Amino acid sequence: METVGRGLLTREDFVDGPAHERSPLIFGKSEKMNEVERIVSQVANTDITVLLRGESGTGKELVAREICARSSRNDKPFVKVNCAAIPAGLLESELFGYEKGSFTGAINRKPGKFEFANHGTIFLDEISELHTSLQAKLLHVLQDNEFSRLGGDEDVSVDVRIITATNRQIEKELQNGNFREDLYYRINVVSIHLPPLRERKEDILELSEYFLRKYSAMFDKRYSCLSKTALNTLLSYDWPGNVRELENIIKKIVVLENEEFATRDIGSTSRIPVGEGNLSQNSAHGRIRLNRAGKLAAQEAEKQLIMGTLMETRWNRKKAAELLDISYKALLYKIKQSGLSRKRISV
Amino acid sequence: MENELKRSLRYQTFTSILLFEAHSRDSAGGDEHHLDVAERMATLIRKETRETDMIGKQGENIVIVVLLYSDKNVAYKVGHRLNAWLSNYLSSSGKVSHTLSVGGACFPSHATDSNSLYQRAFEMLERAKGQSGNNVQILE
Repeated sequence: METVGRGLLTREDFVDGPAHERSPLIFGKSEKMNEVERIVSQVANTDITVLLRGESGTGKELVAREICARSSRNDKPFVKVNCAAIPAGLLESELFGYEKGSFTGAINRKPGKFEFANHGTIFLDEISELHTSLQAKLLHVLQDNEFSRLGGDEDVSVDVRIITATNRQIEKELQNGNFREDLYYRINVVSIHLPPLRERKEDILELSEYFLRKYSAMFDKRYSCLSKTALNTLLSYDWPGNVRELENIIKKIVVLENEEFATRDIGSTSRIPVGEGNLSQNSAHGRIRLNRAGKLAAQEAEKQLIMGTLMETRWNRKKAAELLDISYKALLYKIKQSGLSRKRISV
Repeated sequence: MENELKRSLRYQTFTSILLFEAHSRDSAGGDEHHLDVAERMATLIRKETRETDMIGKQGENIVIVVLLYSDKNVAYKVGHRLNAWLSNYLSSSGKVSHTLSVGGACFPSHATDSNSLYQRAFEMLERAKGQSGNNVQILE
């Protein structure tokens, strides 16, 4: 049996330590991640605005924390805001705060995230989800280092380093008019692309070893090695969920103490890699395994057929179901699953 | 205070601190010890503030008051109210008359960690001591 893992760490190494916030294994050994580390080292000690790009689960937040940790602001606050997780109507008050009486329920003055990040770093995750009205206000902060609270007339000055991240093609949002061009140029001073795990498979072994030791210590298990079969399975998978998915698989292996059961589902999932949905583009790079390619192609063909039938019947779903020889309920389910809408059909 | 600032960060609220220091007007200082004055001040402040506000002591003669959910405007009002009340009380009840200086700062408006917050408030206290008579200085 070939093994990975040098030895077990104690529970305290991970449970109470800073490992959760600052992983020692952010960059790994691959050439692409070495390049990322080089750029991080160069930009860390400046106040330059950084845009982190990469698929979900590639470690954008960890890199942002690393930039903060290596900067002169490392003893100051690091405030994280997920722009997609906060409803658009609340985001302005969350980021910039509000004055007493500015809206119903505003019984007290409230400081915003920018005030809490003063002299430190603010990490704006999923920046492409930011509403255009807020983009103008963010631009004002970037340009003049000041803003006013919601409903207030007093300017609040802040000294904040801004790090942003997105897993979407921000240039497309720019073309669609969903993202302000002036803000794009402001935040895109240094852009760091974090490669997906399938493009740096040489790091899988080291990451597996690290997570194995981490979760063995955390769950008080004595699982210190993976079998050759399990390793081969991990290395042959294309990891659409990236490092986060690998971490969860290893966690599952440690908790269940059964790697065959834990790795059984690997490769059989039919999910499309996050941030990418073009089958031909992926298959051209040889990233999709044959069984997945077949499933994706079947789904795409099904979607096209349903779309065509719905257009033919002018969105008469009952008639379309008859033509497709499936039940009405099944058609509704498939329409929902494929994300088809009347608007999309008519385009 | 560290925990209170963490709580403020989590719930996005203001927290202010006020530093109180009394000085004897008598150059000889009288026979009233600084420690006694600080303890008397702390007891009086406890009566005049909310139960949630925290009171502590720094060194022999500085009393610290942590005002939860209070921005700089509230800190200024509370500082003035307590200053007027305490200075009146200390001057009338003690053997030696005192002047009272108050310095304050607000989280996160003026500082985003406990050390810096105390430092800002202490600077304001020093400024208040530089002024004549009972004085309150809150960082703008």
